[in-house]
Amino acid sequence: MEELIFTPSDFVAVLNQTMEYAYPLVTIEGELANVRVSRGKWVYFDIKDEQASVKCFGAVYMLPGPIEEGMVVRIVASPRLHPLYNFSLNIQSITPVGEGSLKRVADLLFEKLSKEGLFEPSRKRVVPFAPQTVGLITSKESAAYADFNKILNERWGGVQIIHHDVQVQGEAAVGDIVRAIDAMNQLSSPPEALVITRGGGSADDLAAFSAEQVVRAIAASRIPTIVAIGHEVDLSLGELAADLRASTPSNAAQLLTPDKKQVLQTLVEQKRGLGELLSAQLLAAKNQLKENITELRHMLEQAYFVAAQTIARQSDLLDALNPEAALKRGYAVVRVGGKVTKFAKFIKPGDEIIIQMQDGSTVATVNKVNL
Amino acid sequence: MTAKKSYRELQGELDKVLAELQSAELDIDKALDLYKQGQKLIEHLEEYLANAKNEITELKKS
Repeated sequence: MEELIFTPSDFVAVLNQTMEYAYPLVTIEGELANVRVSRGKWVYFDIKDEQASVKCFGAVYMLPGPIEEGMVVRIVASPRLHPLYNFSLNIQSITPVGEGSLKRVADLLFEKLSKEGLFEPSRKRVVPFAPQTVGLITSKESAAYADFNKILNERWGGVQIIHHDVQVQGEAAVGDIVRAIDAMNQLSSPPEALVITRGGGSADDLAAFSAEQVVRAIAASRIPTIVAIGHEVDLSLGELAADLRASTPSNAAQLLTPDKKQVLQTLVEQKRGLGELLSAQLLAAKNQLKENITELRHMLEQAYFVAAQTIARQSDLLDALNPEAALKRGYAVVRVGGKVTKFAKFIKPGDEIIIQMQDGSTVATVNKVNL
Repeated sequence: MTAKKSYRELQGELDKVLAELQSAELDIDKALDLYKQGQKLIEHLEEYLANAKNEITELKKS
């Protein structure tokens, strides 16, 4: 048999083909060492146990958050022999494993995102109450999906629910949730509120909800978000980044909508209130009318009073001008030839004059005139 | 027309009617008119609560 001699390039190519055939993807669980991030874009680290250590390479956006030495992670990767830089695992996904690592990743990520202000209360928007459209991101098979819709139907109606089916745990969860949030935001008429929910689970199950990409997508959503994870002890970072956190999927439906029964009760009260308000308006109008009548009467009385005063004054004046009044005071009117005369010069001795006094008159003949 | 309005719009209109009906110096014709409007809005709201159903559409199938 002829000896097979490779060039280094051929050898690398053949080995890569062989590995790709045998192990297109491998899943490895181990401890992180020598973590290094290059230009904020690429990450290099070793995954190791007591006996072995393998070099790994990947993109920073794939990380669940900041990572550090000693964390236990599970990676899914394709093995590659690089023509120049030797063997490494090209990372497809990396997830922390075990409560300790998950907690550590979440703590580091919390610290990092807090500094960016992602969890600031001032960023929280009001999630519209009784929205007409709601985006629902959860697994269709889940109890969360059933619970949310059941409670929503019990409480309220007329809501258009746009559901986006996603994996809420496992390999695909992070990508699924991020894509779903993006898809909802890109709808030509996006829903008024976004509910991202799942039931409770182990720390591993809930990991996607604390993954950096998911947390950032929630924070970046233009649609106000509610994140609801059933019955858990520690809050996920996704909940902290949401505009509103609900304790369970059912609670999300409660926070989003009023209770039909209570609203009906309020309507009954409003109906009564409407009648009472009308009665009050009618009463006010009646009172106004009464006031108007009283006012009218006052004005009339005033007018009478003024008229009476005027009449009295004019009557006095008339009295003062009455010639009889002068006669009563002792004055007399002298007439010559039937005409009243005011001057002695018009009277001659021998004239017959009539002197009128208050009770009658006398006819006299003039003896003498003094001028 | 009215039936197509959202619950929030109807409720908003009812709130406005109630507020207006509370205002002083309202003429009685206007008050009666508001009262009728309010009754009609409440009817619509009750009808909405009795009949409105939630609908689910799928954005993407798994």
